[in-house]
Amino acid sequence: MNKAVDLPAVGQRAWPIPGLQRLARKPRVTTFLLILPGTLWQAVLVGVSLVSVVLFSFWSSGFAGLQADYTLDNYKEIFTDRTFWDTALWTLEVVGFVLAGVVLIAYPAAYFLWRVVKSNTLKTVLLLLTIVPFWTSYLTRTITWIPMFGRNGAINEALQGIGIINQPLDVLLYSSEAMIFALWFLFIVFMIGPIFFSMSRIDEDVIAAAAVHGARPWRTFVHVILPLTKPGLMAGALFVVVLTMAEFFTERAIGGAQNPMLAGFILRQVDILNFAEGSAISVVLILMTLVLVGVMMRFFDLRKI
Amino acid sequence: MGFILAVLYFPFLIMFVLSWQGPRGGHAFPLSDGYPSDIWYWKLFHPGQVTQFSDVGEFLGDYLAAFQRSIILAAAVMIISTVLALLGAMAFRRGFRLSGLVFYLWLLGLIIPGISVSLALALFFKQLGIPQEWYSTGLAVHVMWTLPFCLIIFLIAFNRFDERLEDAALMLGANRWQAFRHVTLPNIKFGVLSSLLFGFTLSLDEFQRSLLIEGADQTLPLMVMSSVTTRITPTLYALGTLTTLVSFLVIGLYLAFAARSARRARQTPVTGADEVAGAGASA
Repeated sequence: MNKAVDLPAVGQRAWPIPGLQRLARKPRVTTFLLILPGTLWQAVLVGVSLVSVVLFSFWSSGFAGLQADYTLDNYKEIFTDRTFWDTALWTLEVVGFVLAGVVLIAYPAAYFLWRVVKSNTLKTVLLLLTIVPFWTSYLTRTITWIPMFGRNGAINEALQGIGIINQPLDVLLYSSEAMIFALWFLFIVFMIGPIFFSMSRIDEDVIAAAAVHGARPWRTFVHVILPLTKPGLMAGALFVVVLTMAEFFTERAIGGAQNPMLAGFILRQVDILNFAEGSAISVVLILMTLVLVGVMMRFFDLRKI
Repeated sequence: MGFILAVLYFPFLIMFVLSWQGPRGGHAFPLSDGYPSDIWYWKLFHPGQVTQFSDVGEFLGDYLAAFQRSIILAAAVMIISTVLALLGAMAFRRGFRLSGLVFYLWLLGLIIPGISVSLALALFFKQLGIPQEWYSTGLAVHVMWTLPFCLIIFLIAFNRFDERLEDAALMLGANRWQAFRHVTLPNIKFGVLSSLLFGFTLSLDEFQRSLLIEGADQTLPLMVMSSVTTRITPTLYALGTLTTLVSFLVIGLYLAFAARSARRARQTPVTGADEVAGAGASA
């Protein structure tokens, strides 16, 4: 006779391996199994990357490749290098400029989408239109910057044609300004979405309540709307900061590459086969990024989107 | 808003115009004589063939083969990533010990700068003698990058999903698999689609992580990167125009699908109720 506990419940079929079914019904086991594959994948890759980069930063780059002589030379070298500190500072500056620019451009646009645009379909359409370029190759789009903003480029030709300027503007291309400008528009898509999303979650009654209490539009904006959109802002800011810290392609293609940021600096070390120094700088870059993220996370829990 | 859209879409116009550049022309204006010429498109499809207009240093790489590799890789990445992220999101939904830590672990795939990952893994693979190919190490690294994004998408999707529908299904006699298949899954279909699309796109354009760890056969972004450092020819614009068209097509399909399922969802009162009752009765 089968023990009662071994019979499957109503609506279920018996598994060929009896003990397994009882185990699978334990919620903690299934939860563990659910989270396992993804976590394993990430853990292995993240773990190996971090351990490797730290490990190799203590080795040295010989002519035959990396040599496992443990030394602090790499760190001594970079921390006494003026260029390194300048690069690090410049990277932080760029992150600041880019973040500020993206917020200043994306926030009004999201607000416009939320408040001014009335029809829901139009809202979705415009939002999609902003996101669609993201689905195309960022690399080719950035390269197109060259014919657009170069000395003989479309913009310069147009401006000269209209007569606003007499000579082509050189600052439009191969300059830090051009790079920052390009980065603004690359990251807008990461901002508009989350900001608009948190705006659309604002309860209309709250705004009405503010008005009832006599708050004028500007006051309502600063004290009610702005704080309520903080989750969206922080989510977007997280992406912008993290991705700007890692950015090197835009710099190479249209930023002139004379004044690289940390990621570009690392790539340069790799190009000249200074793998150990590159690893050391990578460690610093990773730490900086983690610190920035940590600071931002204190204001905001991502899971609360 | 208009300004933003203008700046965002202007490159496409330029790309399209320049892809028809004259044979002797360069990658920037002015348009040289022989405009419009489809030679750059021809070069896309006949890689490595020298013409009377070719000169020293012209990049003769096979863009289309690289594009193919990128597409295959992106397809694999989107499926793996979506599945893993969906499972993970379900676990997070239930809550478990150390879930905060695990969440940050998943996010680290996004936070750690790509170049550092690339360098670290390249050196690691070299030390161990593991061969680096786009379909093995490249795949691993791409999924590492897309997993956090897909997870976030699913977390948002589950946020909007009312768990009571699932509970109702379970109470009506469905087992957990039936409840998942007939109630949960249809309701997060939008999340699944978004995750697939996101995973695909992110992988297609990924280059920071794969930069140093793909073998000789590269994916497309890497090939584009190397042509930037050697010489940019309008072949790139021809490629860009084509890939953009493909992207628009894919997005169009996605939107059509999403619009259709949204319309259908609005018509039925409670999604899955009939199927669940039927499933419970037939069990």
